[in-house]
Amino acid sequence: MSQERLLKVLLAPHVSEKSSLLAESQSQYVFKVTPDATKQEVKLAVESLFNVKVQSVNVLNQKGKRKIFKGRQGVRSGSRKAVVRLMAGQELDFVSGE
Amino acid sequence: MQVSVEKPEQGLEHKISVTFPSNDFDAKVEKRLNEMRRTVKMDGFRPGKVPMNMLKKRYLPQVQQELLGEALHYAFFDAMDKEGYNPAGYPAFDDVKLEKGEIKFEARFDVYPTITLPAFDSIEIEKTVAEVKEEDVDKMIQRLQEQRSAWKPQGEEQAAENGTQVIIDFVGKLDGVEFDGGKAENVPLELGSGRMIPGFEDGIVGMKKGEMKTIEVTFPEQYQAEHLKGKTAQFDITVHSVQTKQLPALDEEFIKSFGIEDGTIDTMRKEIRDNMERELKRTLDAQNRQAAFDALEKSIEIDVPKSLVAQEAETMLENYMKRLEQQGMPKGQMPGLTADIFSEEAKKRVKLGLVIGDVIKAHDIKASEADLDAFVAEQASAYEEPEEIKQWYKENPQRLNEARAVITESAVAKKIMSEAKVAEVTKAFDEIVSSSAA
Repeated sequence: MSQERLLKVLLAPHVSEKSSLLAESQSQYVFKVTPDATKQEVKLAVESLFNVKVQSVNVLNQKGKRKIFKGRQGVRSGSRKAVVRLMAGQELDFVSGE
Repeated sequence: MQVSVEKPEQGLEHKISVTFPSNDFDAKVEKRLNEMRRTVKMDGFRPGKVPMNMLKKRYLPQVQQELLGEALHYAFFDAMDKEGYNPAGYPAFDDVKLEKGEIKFEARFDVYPTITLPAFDSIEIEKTVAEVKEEDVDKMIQRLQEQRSAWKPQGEEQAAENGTQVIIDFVGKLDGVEFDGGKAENVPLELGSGRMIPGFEDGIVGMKKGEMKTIEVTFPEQYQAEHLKGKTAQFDITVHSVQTKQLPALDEEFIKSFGIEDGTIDTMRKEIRDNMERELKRTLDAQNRQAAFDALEKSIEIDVPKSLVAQEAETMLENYMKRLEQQGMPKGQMPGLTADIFSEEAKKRVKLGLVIGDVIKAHDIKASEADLDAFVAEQASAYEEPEEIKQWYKENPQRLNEARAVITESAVAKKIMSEAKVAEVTKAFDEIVSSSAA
């Protein structure tokens, strides 16, 4: 898998109450990823970018909400999220910025 | 708390380095963060639900910075207490380090200089004395008359001369052509007042009512209108009337118009004299006090704490700016002034303040209640409702303190005066009052 592809896989960390809870209690970190990313790609990307060891990756597709705008049906774009569990004792820090 | 002070070999600037435990500081930071947590908003979280560690990561340095100043302030003055120093002004903090459980900082501060007061009898002072003489009262009355003077038209035989007023029309021509702004009608002009361009008024001297004349006047080189500079113009002048100044007679009516009830010249003279004497006393007091302080200041050579001077200069600059603003200068147009221009004056003031403070301490000069009452009464007597002013003083402790300061200051001046070598200089009333007004 090319380095170029790995740099494109992760879109952003997903920051929310739930995600920070996960991070604190079981060192799981949530990312938004490209819609076609595989677990394997996410794992490699996180390991190479943040210099940590990944234990497992779960992914999910979140469908966009259906919205009606000026009487017309529409769909917001969905997103793919990956929940990355790190090896015990490792952590990531998104806030203070590297 | 560990404190080490480095004494200077010369001058007043000390260096201090302090290490103190940061428990209190950390607790305060924690408390502030907890307060913030309730209100801070962050994307992805409901208000008040932001986790503490995220808050810390984002806001800790900012909060620390905010609270550090206060913590340093207290730590510094604690250290000063411990070491028995009395710092002058505010210290400059140089090197602040936050370490785990400890805060270290270095600071520079000035101490008050030790002042050895000179014996007062070695000081030489020029004391000004003056009194109100009869001529001075006469002059004052004359001035009052002049203020009330009116212009009276004269007959045809009166020629215009310096000190008279003429009403004229004039038309200005440049090579036979009228120019802008060179024409006016029914203008009152006092000859000798110098309001017009040089030569213009001279041309009118000698003219009589109804007379017409053409005069030639050369505009000065610095004239504000570009096209007239240095040109010679002809003015056709028509004199409508010649008026002389008429002083009002010193009669009852005139006197009553100044609010003197019985309308006699004697009462008026007395009133004026009283006023003049009050004014004279005030200026003389101020002048002599200044002279005494100046002499005192010159007789002493001390190092003045730099931080105090800087503070004083800042205050002076601020006051100056405020004054400019009151005079209607818009804020944006203020000249780029720095406190530097006041530093000399500020140095003098600080030095004098220190020295006077020391004199007060050394001789145990205090404002007694009786003095205070007398001062307030005197201040109040100049107003129409003395009782109200007294009441106002009583209700404003700050004002009372100011009054006390004034009293002690003049007591110091008196003390110096009484012991120093005083050379008396007699001056006339006019000289003193007008020079203080200038």
